[in-house]
Amino acid sequence: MSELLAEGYRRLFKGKRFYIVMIAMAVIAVLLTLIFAASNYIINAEIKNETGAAELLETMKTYADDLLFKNSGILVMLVGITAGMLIVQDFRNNTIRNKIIIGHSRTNIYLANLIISVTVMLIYEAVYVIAALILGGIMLGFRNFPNKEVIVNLLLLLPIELAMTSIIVFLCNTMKNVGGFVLSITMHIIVSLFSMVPLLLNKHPKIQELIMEAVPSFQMDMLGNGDIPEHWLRMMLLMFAITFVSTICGILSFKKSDLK
Amino acid sequence: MDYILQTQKLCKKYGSFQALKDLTINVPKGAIYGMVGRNGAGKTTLIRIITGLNNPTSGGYSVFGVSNKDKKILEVRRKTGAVVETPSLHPEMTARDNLIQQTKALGISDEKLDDILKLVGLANTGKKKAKNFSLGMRQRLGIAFSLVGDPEFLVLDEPINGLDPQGIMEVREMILRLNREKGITILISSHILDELSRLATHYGFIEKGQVIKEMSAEELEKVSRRSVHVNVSDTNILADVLNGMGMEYKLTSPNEADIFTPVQVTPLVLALNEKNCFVNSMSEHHESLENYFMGLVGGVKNV
Repeated sequence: MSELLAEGYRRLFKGKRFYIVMIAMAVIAVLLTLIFAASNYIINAEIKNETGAAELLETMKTYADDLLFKNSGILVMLVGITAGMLIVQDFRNNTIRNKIIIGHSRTNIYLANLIISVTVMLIYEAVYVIAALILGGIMLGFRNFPNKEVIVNLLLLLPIELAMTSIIVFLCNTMKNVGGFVLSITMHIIVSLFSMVPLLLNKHPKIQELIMEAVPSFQMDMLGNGDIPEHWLRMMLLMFAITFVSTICGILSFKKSDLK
Repeated sequence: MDYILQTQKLCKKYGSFQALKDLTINVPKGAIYGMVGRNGAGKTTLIRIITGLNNPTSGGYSVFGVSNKDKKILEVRRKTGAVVETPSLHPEMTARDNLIQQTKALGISDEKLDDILKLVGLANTGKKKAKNFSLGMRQRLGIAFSLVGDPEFLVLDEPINGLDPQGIMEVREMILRLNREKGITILISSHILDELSRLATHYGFIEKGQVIKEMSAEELEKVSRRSVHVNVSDTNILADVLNGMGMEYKLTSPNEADIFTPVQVTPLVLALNEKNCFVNSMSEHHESLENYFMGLVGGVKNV
């Protein structure tokens, strides 16, 4: 396994894509900060003009605390671009053969892909959070940070992103082609398009609640600069379950598949 | 005899297509085993199965005496190197970087890489990326990949595809050197049967997913027929004369024929001369691997 990780990390860090996407992640943090700053500037100007509505307008202002949770959807796409492509290219170039021929088990190859993809996710998340904290802190200031809610919610984001990453690895490793890659980078958007569907279940609040808590894309919307979700433990268990199930299914499918 | 690879009634189905059917081969230790077969005969499928890329539908195989159902198969695979169809390379990396990837996957140092690059004639490629390599260079890099782990068993699927005549010669010499100097057992499939016949110490003839014949090069030499190829002014007269002499022959064109029975030249020429048939040329031939294969599978189809 350590050999597969060494091979995979070298391939990851030797390619330009990893660094380009990492810069893109930082740039997104900068852009969001600038947009929030511009929005705050307009709100401040309105406060001066409309002193009566100052209290209401004040609540509309955004801070670095809010910025910390604005990247989750983009992160999935960027992890897909880097990690998903790394996996798909291994199949497209047939370099995956080189590992199987010398006796690496398919289970280890799959798990190495997952570990490398999770590493990408953690690095990109860290880059975003650091950029958002530094630039956001300077330009927007903090509302409550560092407070328990923000830190716990940030930590709760990790299992959700882990589940998303495991799905990316599953799709790319199972489909083995660009189709898997495209699906992995667009899945969050596709799922988000159906975000209104649970609302149709308003007569069944329990089911509605469960769907919102079980779908990673919906969970991301529930986490933010606010209270810790009531069922956070259940949510996290569901995320770990998604990670576990997608990984097991991915390994079983990979073990059965014939490679070119 | 020690065998590096043995298959037992190996079967592989892709949907309803039966690619391998009860295929059994035995690759002796130290051999250069040439696999001969038409397109779609099952050569590459067999190579994919024994290298672990494909799973057999039924039957089994053993590499270095370890069954494919035994977990130890993964350990012995480390002693294997292979080039399957097209070389598997990282296009954005240089030749050396490509090989470093393989040392990482094997968990070994990269100190021998310069020797390997020299061996395959890619020592001077510098910073040129693999995506800019010619087909021949890619082929060599693929072979270099397979040599990184100091394999004891090398599987080469069409290793000289795309190589120029000099490249073919170099790869041939390299294969012979690896076999003779390092004692590496080599399983090789090639469409270029003439080339294969210069390398192989053993042959396996594959047809429709089955091994129809296995033999050593010595055995092939013994069973290969010698013939005299003649070019005459009239093969009808030649046929009359040969029939009269009770000889086995085959007319290959209006002026040419192959005579398989040992022939005394002078009586034949005199007999033909009497009937005003002139001999333009005459040469002795030894039946080639290609001819033997054609005779075995019956027919002149795509090899």
